[in-house]
Amino acid sequence: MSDDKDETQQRLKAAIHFTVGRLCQKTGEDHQRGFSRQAVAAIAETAFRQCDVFAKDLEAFARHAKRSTVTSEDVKLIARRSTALSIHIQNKTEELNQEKKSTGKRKSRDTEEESKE
Amino acid sequence: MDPTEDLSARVLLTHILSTETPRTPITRSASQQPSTSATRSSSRLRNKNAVPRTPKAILKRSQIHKLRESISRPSLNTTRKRTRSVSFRVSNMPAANSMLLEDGETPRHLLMNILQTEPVRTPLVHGMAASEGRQPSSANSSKGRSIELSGLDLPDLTIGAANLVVEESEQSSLTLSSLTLKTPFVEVRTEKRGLRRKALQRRIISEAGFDAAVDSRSMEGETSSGKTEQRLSKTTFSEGFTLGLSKLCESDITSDIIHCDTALFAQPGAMTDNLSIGGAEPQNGSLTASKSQREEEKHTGDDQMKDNATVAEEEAGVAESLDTVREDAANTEEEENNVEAPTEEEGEADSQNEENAAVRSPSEEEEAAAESQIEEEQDGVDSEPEEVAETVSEEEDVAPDSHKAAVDIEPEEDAAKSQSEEEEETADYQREQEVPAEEVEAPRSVGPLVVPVTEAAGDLDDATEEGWSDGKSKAPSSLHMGSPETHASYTDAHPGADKESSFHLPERANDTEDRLLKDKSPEEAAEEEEEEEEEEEEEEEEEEEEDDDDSDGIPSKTPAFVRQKMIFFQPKPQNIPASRTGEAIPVPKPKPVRKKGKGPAKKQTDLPKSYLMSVFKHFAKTKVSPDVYPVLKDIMDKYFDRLAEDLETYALHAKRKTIEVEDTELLLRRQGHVSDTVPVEVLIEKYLRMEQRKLLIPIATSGNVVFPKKR
Repeated sequence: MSDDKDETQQRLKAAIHFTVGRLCQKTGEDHQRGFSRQAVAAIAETAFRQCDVFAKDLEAFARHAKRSTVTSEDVKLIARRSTALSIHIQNKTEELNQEKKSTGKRKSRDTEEESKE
Repeated sequence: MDPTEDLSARVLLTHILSTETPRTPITRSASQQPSTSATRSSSRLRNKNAVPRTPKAILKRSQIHKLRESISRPSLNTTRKRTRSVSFRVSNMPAANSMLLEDGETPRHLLMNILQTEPVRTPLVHGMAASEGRQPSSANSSKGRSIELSGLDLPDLTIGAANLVVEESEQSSLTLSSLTLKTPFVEVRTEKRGLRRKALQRRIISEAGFDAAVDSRSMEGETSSGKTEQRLSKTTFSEGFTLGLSKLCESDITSDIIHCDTALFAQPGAMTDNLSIGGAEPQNGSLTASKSQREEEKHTGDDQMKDNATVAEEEAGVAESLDTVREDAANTEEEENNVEAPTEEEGEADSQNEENAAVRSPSEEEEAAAESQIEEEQDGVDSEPEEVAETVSEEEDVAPDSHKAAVDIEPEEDAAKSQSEEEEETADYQREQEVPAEEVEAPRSVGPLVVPVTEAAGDLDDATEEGWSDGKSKAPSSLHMGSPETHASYTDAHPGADKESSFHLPERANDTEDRLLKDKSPEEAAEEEEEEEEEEEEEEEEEEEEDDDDSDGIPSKTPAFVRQKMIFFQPKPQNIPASRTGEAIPVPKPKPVRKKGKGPAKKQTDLPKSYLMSVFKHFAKTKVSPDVYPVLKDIMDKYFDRLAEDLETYALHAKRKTIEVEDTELLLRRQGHVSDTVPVEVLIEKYLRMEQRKLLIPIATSGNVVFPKKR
């Protein structure tokens, strides 16, 4: 079991690393800057750990609201500290609500990406 | 027997074994020795002797036999003689038999003789054996007999062994026999050990004493020793014959048992009371408990008040202590409380009035209290002012006597005013009265006290004003506040009081506020109306929010109450080792101070500089320049703002409008103080006082009325 967990963790880390690399690449192109491998790796590791923190907080928030599902409300609560992020999430939620396509995953992903950025 | 006998136990035994055919002692004795003893030995003895094979049995039989013989033969001398004769026979089989016949225990006597003849072994052995023998003998309660027997054997046979045995009486004989027989000795000893484990320990201790006692015993005489043995046996079967030592040993054991203290510690109630008295927070359950507790606290509070001086921060505490003093009088004079209670319910400043009333009564005692109470109750606002003046005058008279009185006077005036006002429920009118009263008081206050007094007065005004506006919430609390306030103020004052004078003055002003707050906290248990707030109060983080909420928009929530809460928590930061930056626990403390400094309308966050600096320095571990204060203040303000905002957000997130305990717990979790591995209770137990902990963590104690606070 622990092996599976570690394996899953490794795979998740790899996925995050890949995505972070892609984002850094895109951002670097916008600003004519490159990202060293160590920088990308550091960002990926930070993102991974922040995901862990977010997950715990989200769960705590959901439980605090006596819910068993993490909703966008919980996500917004987490992002309130970062003004830009919270605004971004609010906009996104509005869009989603307007489009009537609300998926927590998407918002969470946005949150993660925002936090990464 | 001559100790110099060449016959060793081994030789003798071997001889006996070789010559004698294995037979029951009865048969042997009967056949070999037609001595009178044989006849004397009743069938009972023979029966007993019938199974003397095991050393244990032998010992038993010997003991019994000894007892019987001792009873029958009062003088040991005779026994000695007999033993001598017996010893002579030891060398011979018939002698042994005769001895046995006489005593009724053939193998036993033989063994005893062997023991006696054998070279003296280590005293330890003998002593132990003797003690061992003692126990079984004592168990048999055949002391007399054993004495005799020992007397028979010991003195005649060997000096050392004899002495040992003689004293031991039963045991000695048994032990001798056991000693001689190597194998049986071991068995016997082990057996005996099992029987008399305790005695063994004792014996070891009294080894030397035993020998000495034995010698002394032999000197004293058999009879006396016999008597002592009997006595001893009665008292402690195991000790039996022992000499004085056994008595000692026995006493040790029995005393241990008697004095065994199984109680873990004083009752929790007592401890809590002590804690409360020791400065426990007002939340302390004792507050809501009987008056007696309050009185106790009052007394302690009085002492504390005198001893402790408080900074402005602790004014509240001082006020509380003063209140406690007053409450003492108030408690004694239930009239006030009762009368005021109904009236207080009407008004908000009831608590304040109570305090005032309480304060007045103790200080002025009979006159003031009675007058104020009666007057207040009966008269209206007009009369009240008069009363106030009267009380003031009275207070003034009393003041010179003690500083306390002086302080009391001032607060009393306020109290009187507030009381009167409350009753009338004419806030405006009362306020006006109070303000002048406060002003009057201010000049009276001592120099340094002036400032705090004015502050307190200001606070008092604010409190009273707010109290009036609140009204309902205070009413019920005021009732309780009388008693808990004393505790609250008491506790608050305790932690930090430094200057009595200033302490008293500001105390008085803050008392009402503090009391409101503090009373609330203890009142929570008492089912205050503002339970929610109180619960929040318990959660330090929630203090700020409550203050904000209260001060901002909820007229029903008593700002004074909030202030009291803040004041209440102020002294805590010193107790709580949390870092000022990280910990949420000490955070709320500065808030109350902050509120205190402002008027009712302003919500500034001006924590006392000394408070902030002291807390910061406490955790800084290095020198701190005073220049940090502005930055520190700014940071703290932001921290508290965010804290309150977070709590409010959490409450809203849970679709609630009130901050609850769980909101605070969530905040702690977010801050990292609480995690999956570290529950909140750990922090509670680590930082909060016992009373608070008992409120937060419902515990079940036998015989205790548990108020599990809903969480």
